[in-house]
Amino acid sequence: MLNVQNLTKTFSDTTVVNAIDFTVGEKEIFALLGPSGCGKTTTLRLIAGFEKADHGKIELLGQPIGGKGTHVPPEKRGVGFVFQNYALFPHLSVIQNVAFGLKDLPKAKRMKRAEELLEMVRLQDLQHRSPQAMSGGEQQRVALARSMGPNPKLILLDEPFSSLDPELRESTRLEVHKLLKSVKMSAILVTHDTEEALSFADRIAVMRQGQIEQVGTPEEIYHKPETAFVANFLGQSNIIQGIADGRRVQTQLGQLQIESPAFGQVSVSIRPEHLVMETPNGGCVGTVCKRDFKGSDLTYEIDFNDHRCLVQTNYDCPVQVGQSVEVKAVESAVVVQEQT
Amino acid sequence: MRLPPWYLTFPVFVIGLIMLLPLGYLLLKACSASPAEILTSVINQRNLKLFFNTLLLGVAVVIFSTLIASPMAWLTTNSDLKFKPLFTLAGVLPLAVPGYVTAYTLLSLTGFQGQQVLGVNLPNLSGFLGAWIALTFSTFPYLFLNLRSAMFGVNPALSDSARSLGYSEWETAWHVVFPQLRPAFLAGGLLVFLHVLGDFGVVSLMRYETFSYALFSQYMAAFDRTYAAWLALILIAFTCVLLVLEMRILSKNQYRQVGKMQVQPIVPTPLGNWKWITYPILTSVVFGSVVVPTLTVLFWSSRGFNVSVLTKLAEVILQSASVSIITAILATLIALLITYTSIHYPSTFSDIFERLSYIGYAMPPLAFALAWVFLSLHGFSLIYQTFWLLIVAYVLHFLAEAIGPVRSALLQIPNHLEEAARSLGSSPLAAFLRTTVPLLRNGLIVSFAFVFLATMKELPITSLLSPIGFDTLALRLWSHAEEAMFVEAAPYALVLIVVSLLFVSTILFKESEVA
Repeated sequence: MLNVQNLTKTFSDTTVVNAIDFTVGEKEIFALLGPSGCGKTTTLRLIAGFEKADHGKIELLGQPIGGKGTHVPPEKRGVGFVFQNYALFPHLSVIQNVAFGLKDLPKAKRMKRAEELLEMVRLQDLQHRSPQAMSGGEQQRVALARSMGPNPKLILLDEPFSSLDPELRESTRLEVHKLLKSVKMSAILVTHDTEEALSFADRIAVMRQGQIEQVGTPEEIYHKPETAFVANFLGQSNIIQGIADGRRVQTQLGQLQIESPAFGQVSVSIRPEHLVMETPNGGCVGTVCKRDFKGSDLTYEIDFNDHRCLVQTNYDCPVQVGQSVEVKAVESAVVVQEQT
Repeated sequence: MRLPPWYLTFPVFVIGLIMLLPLGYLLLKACSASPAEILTSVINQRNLKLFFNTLLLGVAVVIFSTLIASPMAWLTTNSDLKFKPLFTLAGVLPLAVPGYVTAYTLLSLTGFQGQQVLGVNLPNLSGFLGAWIALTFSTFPYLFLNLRSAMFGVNPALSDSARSLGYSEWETAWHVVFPQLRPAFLAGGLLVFLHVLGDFGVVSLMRYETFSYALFSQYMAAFDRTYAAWLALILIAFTCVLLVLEMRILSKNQYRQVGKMQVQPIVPTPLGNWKWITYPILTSVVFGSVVVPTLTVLFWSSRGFNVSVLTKLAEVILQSASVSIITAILATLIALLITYTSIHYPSTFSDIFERLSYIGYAMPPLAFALAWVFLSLHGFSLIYQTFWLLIVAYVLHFLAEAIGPVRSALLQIPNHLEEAARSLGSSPLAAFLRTTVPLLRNGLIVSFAFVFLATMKELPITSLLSPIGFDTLALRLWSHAEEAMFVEAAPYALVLIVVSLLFVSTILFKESEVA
């Protein structure tokens, strides 16, 4: 339903969004994931119409709404927006905030619809409060109800959970996800939190320096990263150079299987939890140089001729610092592109 | 709650008492008359007319100030205007030109006198019209400053929100931005109104009868002291109503930011073709409020320049400066005492006494001065018509101006510094002098500068309380201008403008350092 092509935005001399393409389907929750300053929020603001694009085009349900030469003003796009700080109007009560966007409805229906929206986020009892008197989670739900009021075609969520307390974040996330799915709403989530993107989105685009590195389902992004950046941004990963010949690659750790055939000099990524340690048995030997106990598991750092690699094991692994070990992979590695 | 030591409690208590004393005496004096006399003093045709005149002038000045200040505040915060710092300065600088200097300028540029300067005979600008223009030009910065900081405080995400909910740019401005600015409009407008109410210099030069002008002529001409006392009380009551309104607006409409505020930079709105009228209009405001008065004063000064004028001028400068320096030192020290007590020993006691210090500031200066006249005439005749009475009245009147900067500087000092000094072997006084005072330096300088400048420019209190033979720049300027002796008045106006400009720039500079 949303089609973004070659979208580019430059502020003074820096290209913040650099020729990106992606599509969002009906009822799909799409996430733009990346470190701060990667251009994800600007992309969202371009789609909302708060910024004008320099190049490319944005189409919603087949209609061009933005891009080079076209700029439908934000109020005419039918796109909802939930801000990081919710941006609730401090001079209006909760119900007035929600009713704010319902100006096309006749007065009588307006309040009724606002009440329904508040019921949807289970806040009907607090409708006459001022937003200041609410907790962060409640404000968040008001902001969501408000953005859904005018029946937008698409909702844009700009880091909506980042100002919540960690304990509240997960439950709110699940609740919002359930709500969006129940009303079959398409949404784009902008976040820098990997876990949030993996659990919330149907598909994820990982962004870096204004460009999209990879688009895919959470499983694809996590298990089959295409670049070293994606591999490392979604949890820890070992990026190792080696010589590939078909399905195998020869590295400093020894021989590893790879997912799809490759040849010559390559970089591969393998997650620490996909490696195990064994007593030396004629293979490449490394020295354990660091042991990091984390409660439920342990992470070891092992030195292979100055090349370090991480191995994650169970909490009861008896290996100690200084010991010599071999490392074996229990899963295939993935060939990745090193960043340029 | 820790009680402050006696050497802090006692002076604070005495100062609070002295603050209340004249007000009490004024009430006593007013109520000592017979009920019939009181009735005729309060309810009569003249008071009704004064009330109407005062209200009309206040409302007119507030409207005119809004028309100048709001576009200026918007342009310097939200547009792509060039030279923003310069135009911002232009919005503040008119504070340096006292209202009566602007009034003097208008009077000396119009009518028969003005023909000598401009070569054309403009209609005489006095009365309501003159007072309106002069007061607007000298008070609009209060509104400008209020609006400006409010505009910086509006979260741009709120506007974006409204846009994504289907509101056009104009609808957003009306339904979202304007409500956020309303408290600043109201508070700034009331502040301007309060200044109009307290003004004496402009209305007396323009001969426009408001409460304060009537109060002065009543006191000077007739010796009906009861009526004068009642006029003062009515003026105070009027002021109190406005102050209460102001306090209610400020406490009710403090829209705290919802959620954590992330400071988002304002995206400047391009002026486009509007710039062709924006720059000329802004420039003419600067011209009208600062440049024209300065040039006019220079013109008239050049007319009557000789040695005897200079000698007299030097004498008056000396008198003005010495009384201002003494006042500024005393006010700053007392402000330090009061704020130090209220911050380090917070209690109901210190709270009440800090608030008391605002009475002298909020009271219309002429009413305040009249209260002191009554008090010194009957209670303390020893100090009547002395230099010291004048100083006491100045200090109490300007104390609040000194408290602001000292207070914010004191609040910025980390806790326990003095205790650290004590643990390293300093006595309480040495600890205070070696830790707090050096850190307060900038705050103290700003306080001193505020009070010094305010005292230099002060007119109504001076006109009632100055001892015979004692002259200040403001008093000389005013009494010459009152008799249309513009050449004689000019040198005093010139010195006042120069001093004011110097101090206002010092204060702006130091305040930016403190912040």
